[in-house]
Amino acid sequence: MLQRPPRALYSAFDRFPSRKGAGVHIARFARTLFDYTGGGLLYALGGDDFPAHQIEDDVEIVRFSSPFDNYLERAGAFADRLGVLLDSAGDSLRVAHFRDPWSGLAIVTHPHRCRTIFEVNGLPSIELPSAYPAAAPSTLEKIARVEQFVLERADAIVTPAMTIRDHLIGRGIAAAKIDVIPNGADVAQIDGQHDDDEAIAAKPYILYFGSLHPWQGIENLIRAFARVRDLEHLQLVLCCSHESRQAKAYMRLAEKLEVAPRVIWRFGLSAAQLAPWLRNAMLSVAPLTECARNIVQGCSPLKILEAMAAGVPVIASDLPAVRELVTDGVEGLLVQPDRPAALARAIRILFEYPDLRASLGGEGRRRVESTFTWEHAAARLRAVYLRELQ
Amino acid sequence: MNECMSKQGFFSLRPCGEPAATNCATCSRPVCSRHLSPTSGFTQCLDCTARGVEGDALRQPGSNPGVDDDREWAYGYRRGYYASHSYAPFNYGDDDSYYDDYDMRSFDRDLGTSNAGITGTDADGKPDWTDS
Repeated sequence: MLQRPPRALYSAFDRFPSRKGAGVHIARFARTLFDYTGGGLLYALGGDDFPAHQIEDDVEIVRFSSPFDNYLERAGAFADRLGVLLDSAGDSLRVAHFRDPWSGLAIVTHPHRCRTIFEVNGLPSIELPSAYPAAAPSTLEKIARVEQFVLERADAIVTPAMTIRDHLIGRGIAAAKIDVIPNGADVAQIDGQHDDDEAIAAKPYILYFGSLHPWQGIENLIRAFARVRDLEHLQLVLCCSHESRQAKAYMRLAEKLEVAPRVIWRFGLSAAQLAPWLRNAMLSVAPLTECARNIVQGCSPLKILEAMAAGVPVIASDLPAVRELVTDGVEGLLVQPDRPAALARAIRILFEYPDLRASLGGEGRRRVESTFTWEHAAARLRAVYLRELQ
Repeated sequence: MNECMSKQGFFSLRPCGEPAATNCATCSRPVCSRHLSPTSGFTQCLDCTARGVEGDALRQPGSNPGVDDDREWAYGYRRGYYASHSYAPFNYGDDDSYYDDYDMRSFDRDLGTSNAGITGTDADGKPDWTDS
């Protein structure tokens, strides 16, 4: 079915394009791969609203579109389909870059071997229990064995955080084949002026933007906000990737704590729609919880980097993965995770001291410019391709 | 003149909008020449051809066309695919897949917090993979 033999494959068990952090990451890394190789095949999840097949200049895009409600069935069928695509790609493929073990399983077991790069942002055996609490430990162990199989056979591994790298080394993966490529943010993209800026900036607000996964700590944030309700006119703005049952639960919590009128919800904003909310925020928060996903596995929160790029001071949970991006008291304030009182104290400090806000925001922006732009990430990724494809 | 209703774009999807050359024989949507599939003999849009190929792919080796249940033919295909590539890193039995019914059940949508925006699900509860 492929219309031209691909030299490179980028495979992601994620819908693409999307407004989630994963969507941003895929766009940046896939583009870097295809710029390096002169085009290739992008394989991702689709669905009714997505074209199953696209030709975009030098990139052929195939999306898995069959409806499987069961997660494991969908993951398995996604891999099966990839196997057939690999059959049709034949010997042309020089490099396969994938970001999930389901893709990896099809790739590393395919008879035609090419250089394989596993981009590890998260591991299903660790992250899935929060979405599927009924998953048995024995089932998660089976998934972990699939991960291990792929991790051991991949030629190279890239990951956005030292925390994740350390976790992989702890699983017996050779350190020499792991490259840490932190996530990035674009300073230029966040700058600019929007018609809504004046209205948005009318009252001071704390901004949270991102998903509503339990590990994001939204409940702690709402509880912290209730503790600073005496701060005049201060609002809490939550820009979430989508409206969900979980959002309704948080809305009920805000009502119970009698802060609902001062909590503003926005859903499904595009990057352009989010930008004015970000640049006018008094401060941004990343109240990550102290859970296995954030502690054992690690992460590299884009929301922190994007706030820093916008010159907005950040309050984040004091976790190893966050300390890779933020130095406490320099680019932001780090607070003990899962402690609404500690988070509220930090909010109060930044509300009361505008000079400190300006200092943290300025330093954050400088840190992004010097270290964490997407161009930095792309250069690091190109170096991996250069090494692997020589 | 109708406009092509196929979507295009890499970073974001937008309607093609080019003048349609014909209508797709499967979905009947107007489609321009660029979005007609050459492998279909230019009677189908790229989208319908790809969905058809995907359906065929999932019914390939090891499938059991006599079984209507999607789950059965998906399992069957996977067993056949891995067997045909001498792939046996795990305990694939003759009559079962790597994951048994007990494993699979806990990943049914109604047992997950499928609309909670948690890993493994997307905005409409469709399962996908990880957030950053």
